[in-house]
Amino acid sequence: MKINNLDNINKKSFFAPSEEYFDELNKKVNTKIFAPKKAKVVYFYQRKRFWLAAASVITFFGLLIFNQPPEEIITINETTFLAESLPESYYNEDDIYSAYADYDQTTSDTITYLIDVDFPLYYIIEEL
Amino acid sequence: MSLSEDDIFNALKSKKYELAFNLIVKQYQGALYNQIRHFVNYHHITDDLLQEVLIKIWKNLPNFKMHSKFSTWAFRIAVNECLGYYRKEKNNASALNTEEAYELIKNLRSDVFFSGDEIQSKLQSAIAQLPDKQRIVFNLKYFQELKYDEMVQILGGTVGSIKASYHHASKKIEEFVLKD
Repeated sequence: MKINNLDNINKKSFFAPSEEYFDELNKKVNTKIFAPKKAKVVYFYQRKRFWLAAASVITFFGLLIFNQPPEEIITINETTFLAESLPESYYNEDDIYSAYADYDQTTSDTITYLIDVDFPLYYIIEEL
Repeated sequence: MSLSEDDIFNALKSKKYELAFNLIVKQYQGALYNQIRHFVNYHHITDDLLQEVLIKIWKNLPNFKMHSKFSTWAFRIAVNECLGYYRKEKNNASALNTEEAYELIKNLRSDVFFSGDEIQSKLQSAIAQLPDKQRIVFNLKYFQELKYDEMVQILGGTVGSIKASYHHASKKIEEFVLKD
């Protein structure tokens, strides 16, 4: 077959799918559009907040276990008051003075003070 | 029953989107199938793209402003879907060589959905041999009968470059189709 130019070709109805095909197509499209989405089962461990909570708990206990205050006991007496054996970052100087003031006012032989230090949480000062 | 754009507009105006969508599908699915298949050659790809086009039409129905003909809007969605396919399959959607084009002619003749004659199958194969840009331009101009400035809006570039692409495409197709 020979033609003279492209305008002589019938542009319409190159392809004519069957009614069955379009019925099938419409079913597929309607399913995607109108069918209710199936509920997706998401287990608790698959949620982000579970892992955030787990990480928080692990961090908390990790800090509790591994960040124990140093076991060293500082002895305070009138002559050697300052805790010179400690690095400065371990104690707050004001607390030490406060402890010393309390010591002066007591008659007890043994006084134990809990003094806030920067890090870790507590520091024990014992006076024998 | 013959449907018109007015039926669709009326359904949209009264916000009966499901009814409007069903009317659209009935009215345009055949034309959309043809349009997409001219771009991608194969039924299974056309089937996937047509589903996507219909889903996009459904999703965007409430946003349709009714400023243009509904068919123009629907065909624009189909063209964009085909262009998206070309971009995604850039390595695989390249032009066929002559041997593959003759293979395509054979396949088309045995394709139950192909209702064209011998010359139409030859034209389809000739189009398949064009580079991507020329193929897109030729399809838009020849089958969709878009104006050059409309094609610039879709494809970018300039009217001059699109005219040149169409000219080259037509020449190649004529050579292939008109030879014995």
